[in-house]
Amino acid sequence: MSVQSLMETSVHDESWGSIALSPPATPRLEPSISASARGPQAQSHLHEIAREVANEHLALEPDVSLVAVYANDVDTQIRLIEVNATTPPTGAVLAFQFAPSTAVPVPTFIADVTPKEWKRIQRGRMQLPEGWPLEPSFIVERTNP
Amino acid sequence: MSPAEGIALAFPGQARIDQRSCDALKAAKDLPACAWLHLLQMYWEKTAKAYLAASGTSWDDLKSHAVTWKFLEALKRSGSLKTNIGISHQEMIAWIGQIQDLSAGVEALCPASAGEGRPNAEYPWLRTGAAGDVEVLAPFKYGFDDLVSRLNSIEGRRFLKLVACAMEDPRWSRSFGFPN
Repeated sequence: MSVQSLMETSVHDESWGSIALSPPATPRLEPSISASARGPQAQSHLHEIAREVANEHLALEPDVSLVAVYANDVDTQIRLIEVNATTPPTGAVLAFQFAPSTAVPVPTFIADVTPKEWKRIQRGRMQLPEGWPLEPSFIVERTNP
Repeated sequence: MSPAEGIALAFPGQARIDQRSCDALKAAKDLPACAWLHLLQMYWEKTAKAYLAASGTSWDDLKSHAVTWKFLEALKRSGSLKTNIGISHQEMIAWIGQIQDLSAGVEALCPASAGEGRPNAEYPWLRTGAAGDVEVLAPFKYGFDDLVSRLNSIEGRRFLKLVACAMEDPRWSRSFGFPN
């Protein structure tokens, strides 16, 4: 079901007025990564979660064409650069940090950049935030532009 | 405490003080709207920047004014705060779609975002008429009626609820070892 179709039904909420209604989201990912559970297996699990998150973000936002996932061997964080044609250019990678949730059990960083800024990042002309690996672990691209 | 940790704690702390000041000025009925709107713009911007500061963003990059739009876009996809607000991820996406324009209106209360000759909540501005006549306008004389009306609507209540939840998300504070 598309996000658009989910938004088409609505209910009345007394506090906040009419809001879109959809079935409650079911967590699809196992909340089992902890800071102590590092190593290849945990890394593989983290990448699996990150791939799910990247795909979900591509599905949610038509203007995002590509999600680059940055992680290293000891990470318990998901860092994402998302290439968004409609985001305002700032000349910097502004990464917002969100708390873990049931669906994504590690902190997530999300930074939107323009396609032009992404090219600058790839050429090493735009710095990543401190502590990020220099190269993405993998990239998820929109397959149906 | 490292400078980065200090910065990450300072933004949400200052945002809360700005919010309390905003509420106090709003309750003082003899003050013009610009007084509390100015603080609303500041605490909304600092709240969004708190989520940047926590990720170790450089001091220079924290000076950017284009932060709230990007924050809402990232929040929309992350689905963070939906539990605090009590809505589903899909509802959260719809909410943010509805409040983005209002958020931009609040951001434009800052002179740097408003642009030359445009209404803002801080400084006087000049308006040039069709005949070339120049009028000096000041925030305290400008009602901001449209913006105030939108902030009192369902859209505005949702916006203020989202900002408050973003500022007071205990899970977010805990995950970085910050006091609530």
